[in-house]
Amino acid sequence: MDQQIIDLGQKVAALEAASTMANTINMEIFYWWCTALMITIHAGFLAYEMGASRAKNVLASAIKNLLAFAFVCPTFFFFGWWIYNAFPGGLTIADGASAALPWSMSMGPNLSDNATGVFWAAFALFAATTASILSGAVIERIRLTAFLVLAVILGSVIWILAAAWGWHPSGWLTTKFGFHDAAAAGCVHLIAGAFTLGVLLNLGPRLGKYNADGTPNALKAHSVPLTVVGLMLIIVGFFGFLGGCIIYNPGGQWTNIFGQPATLSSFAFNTLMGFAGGIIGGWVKTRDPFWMMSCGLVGIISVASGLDVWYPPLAFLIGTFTGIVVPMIANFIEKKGIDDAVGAVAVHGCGGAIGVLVVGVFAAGYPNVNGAPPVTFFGQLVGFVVMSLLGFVPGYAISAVMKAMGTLRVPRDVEIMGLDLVEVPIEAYPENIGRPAAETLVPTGDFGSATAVPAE
Amino acid sequence: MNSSPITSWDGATAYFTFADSGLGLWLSLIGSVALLVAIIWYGTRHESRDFAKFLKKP
Repeated sequence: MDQQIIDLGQKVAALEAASTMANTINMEIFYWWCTALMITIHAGFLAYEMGASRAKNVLASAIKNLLAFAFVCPTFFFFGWWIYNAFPGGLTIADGASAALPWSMSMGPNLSDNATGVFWAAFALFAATTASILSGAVIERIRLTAFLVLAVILGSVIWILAAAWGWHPSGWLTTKFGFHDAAAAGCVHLIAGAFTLGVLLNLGPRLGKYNADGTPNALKAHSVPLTVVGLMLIIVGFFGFLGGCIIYNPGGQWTNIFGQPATLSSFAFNTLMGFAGGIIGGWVKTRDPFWMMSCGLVGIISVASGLDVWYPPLAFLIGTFTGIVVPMIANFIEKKGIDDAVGAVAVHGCGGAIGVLVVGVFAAGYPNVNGAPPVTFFGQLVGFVVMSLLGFVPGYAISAVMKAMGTLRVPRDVEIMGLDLVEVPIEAYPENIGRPAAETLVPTGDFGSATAVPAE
Repeated sequence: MNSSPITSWDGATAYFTFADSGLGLWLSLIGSVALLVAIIWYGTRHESRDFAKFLKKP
């Protein structure tokens, strides 16, 4: 009998160990696939920016976008992850942050730590997404290296400092003011939009964007279909992004990043309802498929802060309202002489601001955990002000220094001829779409070659 | 080059290359930081030269 009890105890212990390991691996798998899906956001931004560029700048825009990703990932390893773990209290370094330093034993393959790598990866993708928001707005005239420096500062310093303050279980905006931002409308979208606005003020509009009397001209995207497909890819990737915003607790209920109980189902309800509302709002206001998809995106952003708590029809209404309002804001920004090539300030900045503030209007009173105050409009307003300033001030100041040094913008003649001709060794459209053909290729029947002949 | 910090998988924790070697770890880390900085510097110079070359063309 005693032996049977011992055997049973051993079996239970083995089952518990197996269950714990299975839960740990499930957690890893969940964030792994969220990260993989988030790569689709970058495929989308790539297509979107290339499409929004004129034919003479398509490949330069692609290079800029690809390098933003490539520079943000290592810099996020070097210091971004540490910033997130170090500064939730403000500007004092938190205990335990040393585990996030790049020489820590947690920052590499480690059999006793299954979590750090997948969380770091998900956050690195959030960082790259934030940097990509800047990327589209500044196309066709920013110097590549200036952009890369700005992308690293935004992606690996500014947004993650905002995340430490307002998207962290111990972030001071939450612990002191009850700030609620379940899916990062503030620290990703509002921050990126505000930073972009600061950069655009110094960068100036593309040549030909404005007439002498200040009225704007449309510098048309060379491929609207590519931009629309790109936006849809961003939406697909958004599901990975939003999945990465919820905490998988092995053996327990999901929580949002602040530790409040949540479900992935709530995210599913409200993401789709906000998205649908945004598309409809964009259609009502513009009838333009580019703006319909942009407004679909902004519909999701506008419900992101309260994604865990909205009644789905309310999310739909918020998404629709924002979808109607944001094209008007983009128009207003354009009329003020700010050339935002893809509407990033309106979509991400204003969409993020609406997302943060609307929680204070319609979701005040939700309780917090660990003694933090409940959600209030005042708390959301504080978060909005802090994040707006944290985004705008460095974006404006750093780009002003670059402008003074003459390293922010490409020379005028280079801009006129197009960046591809000057900086890129290959052509986007060798068959000469959009300009007179000097020569063209005709098939010879030999599958290994083709013959160049003068165009008729 | 033997960069393994472990000789057995039993009880292994951090097992990445140079996990137990300060020199290898720091050389890799400093090298990668220096590489990024150098590429930005080189890229700025290269871009300026490209622009100058283009602007000089008749």
